[in-house]
Amino acid sequence: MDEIVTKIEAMKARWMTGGSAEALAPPDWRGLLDQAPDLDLLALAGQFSRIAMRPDLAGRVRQKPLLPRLGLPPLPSDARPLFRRAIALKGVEVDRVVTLAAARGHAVSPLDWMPTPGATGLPAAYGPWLDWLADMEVEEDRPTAETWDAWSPQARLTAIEALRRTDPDEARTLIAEIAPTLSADARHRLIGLMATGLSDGDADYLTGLETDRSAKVQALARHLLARLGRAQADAGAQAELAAFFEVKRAGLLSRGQVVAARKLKTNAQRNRRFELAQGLPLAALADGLGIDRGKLIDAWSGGDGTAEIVAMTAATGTDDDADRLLGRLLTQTDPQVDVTPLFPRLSAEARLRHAPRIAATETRHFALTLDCLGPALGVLPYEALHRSATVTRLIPLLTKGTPDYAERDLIETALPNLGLIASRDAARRLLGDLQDAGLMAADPRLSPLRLNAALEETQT
Amino acid sequence: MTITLDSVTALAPDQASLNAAGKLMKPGKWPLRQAAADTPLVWGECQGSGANPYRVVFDRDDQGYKCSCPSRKFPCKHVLALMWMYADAPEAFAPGAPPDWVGDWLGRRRGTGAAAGTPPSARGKSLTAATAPQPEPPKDPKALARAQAAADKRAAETEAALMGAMDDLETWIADQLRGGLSGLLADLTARCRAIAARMVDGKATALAGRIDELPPAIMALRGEERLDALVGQLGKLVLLARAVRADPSAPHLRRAVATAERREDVLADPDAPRVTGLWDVVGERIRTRRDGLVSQATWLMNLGTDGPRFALLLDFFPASAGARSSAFATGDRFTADLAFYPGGPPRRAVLVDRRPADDPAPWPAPDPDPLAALAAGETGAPWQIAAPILLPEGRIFLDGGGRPWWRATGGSLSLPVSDLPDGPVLGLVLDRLAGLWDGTRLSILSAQTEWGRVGFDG
Repeated sequence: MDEIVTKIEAMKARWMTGGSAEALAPPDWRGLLDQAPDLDLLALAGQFSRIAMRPDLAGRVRQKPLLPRLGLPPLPSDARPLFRRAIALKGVEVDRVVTLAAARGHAVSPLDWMPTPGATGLPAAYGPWLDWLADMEVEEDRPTAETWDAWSPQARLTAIEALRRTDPDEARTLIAEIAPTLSADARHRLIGLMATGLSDGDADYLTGLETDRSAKVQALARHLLARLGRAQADAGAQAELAAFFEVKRAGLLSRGQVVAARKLKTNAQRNRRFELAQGLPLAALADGLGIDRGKLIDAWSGGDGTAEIVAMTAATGTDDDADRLLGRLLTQTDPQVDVTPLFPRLSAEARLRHAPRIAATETRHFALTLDCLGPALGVLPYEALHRSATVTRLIPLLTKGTPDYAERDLIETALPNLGLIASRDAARRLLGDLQDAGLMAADPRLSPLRLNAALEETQT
Repeated sequence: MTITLDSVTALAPDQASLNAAGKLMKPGKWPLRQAAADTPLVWGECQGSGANPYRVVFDRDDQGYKCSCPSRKFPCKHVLALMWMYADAPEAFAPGAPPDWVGDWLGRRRGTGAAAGTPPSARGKSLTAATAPQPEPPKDPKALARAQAAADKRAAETEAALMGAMDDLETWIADQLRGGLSGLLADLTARCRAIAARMVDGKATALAGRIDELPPAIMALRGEERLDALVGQLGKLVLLARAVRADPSAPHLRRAVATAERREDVLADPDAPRVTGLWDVVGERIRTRRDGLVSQATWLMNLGTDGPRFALLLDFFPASAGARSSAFATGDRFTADLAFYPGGPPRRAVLVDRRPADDPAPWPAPDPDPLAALAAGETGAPWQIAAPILLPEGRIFLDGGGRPWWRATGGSLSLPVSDLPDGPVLGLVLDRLAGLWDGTRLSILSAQTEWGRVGFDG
């Protein structure tokens, strides 16, 4: 066998440079040759290599570990096609469909979807897959300074955020140890995790960060300190900002107070107000106006200046401030106000409480409701949705049948979003409503709703 | 609005389309005809002249339609036939839920509404005329004899041309060996183009297409693999040329070098083996060839014990006809009668009859030595390029250069893999694997895993 292989190699070498290989043929083959010996040898050599020789995986080989099983059971088999169709829809964010499945207690099949390496914002259950994608193998339940690099970025942030909930001091110690070794952006992300479980025990460390080499980190530290009521405000800037606002008497007998922005005359004034609001905490503005922070929120009149109040509250207010301000703004139903900066400051309970009111009135085809709900998708009851402004506009468009461009945008955005925010019962009932309005059951745009309706709600 | 005979007439682009549709009005040509109860969708699958069936759907309300055939007439005869049958007898359509491919069409067409423009007119077209028996021209014995003589002459000329082409091919290969394969590798595309053109002149069109595909296949390999692959491919061409010269009328050889038989010829051929079984769609390969044709190859695996393990449904259509959707999804199963093209090891086939099957039968056990079994199965046609293979449990490994290999559990067999997509496959145990082995690379069609079936588009 080895002799034949050697001979064939010699024949190939001859053919490579050109010429007859007849004299190099294995002795046993010579009796088979006819009038065109090189063609015969070519056919024999090709067949010999195909039949008698086997590929050999020699040398250093690498095998990835088996894809880990996740803590959540996989989607039921009948829901997998619905998932695939839902994520194939234009404009649907895959992460949100994955989040809906996770909220219902299921992980998706790796054959249908895999996260991209280094992805962030996914349900924590997908951490093992992110580690697998990043070729990370970790056995500890939390990173340490020594094992930091062995963790994928998403996994270590998730682990530290979890540690902030259970042992905030330990987490702060770890952050303080790691942060100086990171780039400004990575440091900003890591220190931002201290918003979870923020307490007076963090004040000294945060105060030290006010001299960090990154202005972004300095601002973050000031904001976190402000949430603890330890903000240092420049008196001049505080007075200047307060001068842009006024506290007025209002109501019967002028007993109530209303806080409103003073009318501006120039864009330069508007820019200056915005700049001051970026650098000062909400408490400083309240102090400047001579009222307390809660009163400022409760008395806020809406309209011009709201963006500054929202930004200051989101950055430097307490969680309760954010909750109160959002509640206040939702009563004013001003569609121009962007309240999304407040959402990350809301507790899970507050998100669920505010989402139905947002869904009822919003004009962004439920995109705002999705942002408000965050990871808690698939929860809104039928009553919160079927009379909402969006569904009320949607149903006649479906019945009408020939939507224009803007109407089609509404249909194609709102339908998938409905599937992401509705509870299972709401999804089922909405499917009936939408089909009654003229949509076919097989319409791909109903895939998220059908997926939702197919997934049982988990018991909490 | 719903479908009526008048609206079918009006929609037809011309009387010829109606005539052609009339010939498709046989339930036997339609393995599947269904209508949704709650939506105006009607769909079906028509066994046309190709190996893969055409998928046809229309909307009863707005008369929108879609067919997967490459016809440039809109609507094509398949759509007209399905509408016509529905207008004639809607009760003959089984109720059902729209399958995924209907949903996909629905998703793509939404919002377009009814087509604007001139409403279709029935003027100049007639269903009655389409179903009227066509008078056969009187058969003149002298004309028939002349036609037969002309056919015989053509066949003799074709055979002579093919023989000339085989001689030219062997001479060309001998020249390459004499001049050095290094020179051929350096100028592979141009030289292959030249001999392929000569094969076209010699009526060896299939062989010309095969030679045209040689350069990209060789150049896709690593430098150190190209000589071995070239020797293997040229050796196969020598074997094929010798076989054609020995038996120029053998149908499988004619198919390999010239043209394949028509579907009707295969169905009428008593030598074409028929196999009835439970078939699993293991994969599809759609390739645009250098000659401007798109080949659509659907690979089926026989889950029973009788007949060949694999079957290939192969269609060609011009690339200018646009993208064509898949005839089947990987993982589809059906019970079907297949007629295999005659001669040689049975592989290429046409569907004779097909019935849906929901049989959870597992994939069969692979041969203990899959490569040996594959070689034994190729004895009658050693010139074939790639052959389907069923492999046992294994995993994907990466060699020192990061290139993927499939290796059987226990390490008894390792095969280098082509076209491995990103994704979880590197972390999965592949319980069974169906692929195409060309002697150099394994192209995976699909595999069974603990997570379910994973398909590779390739």
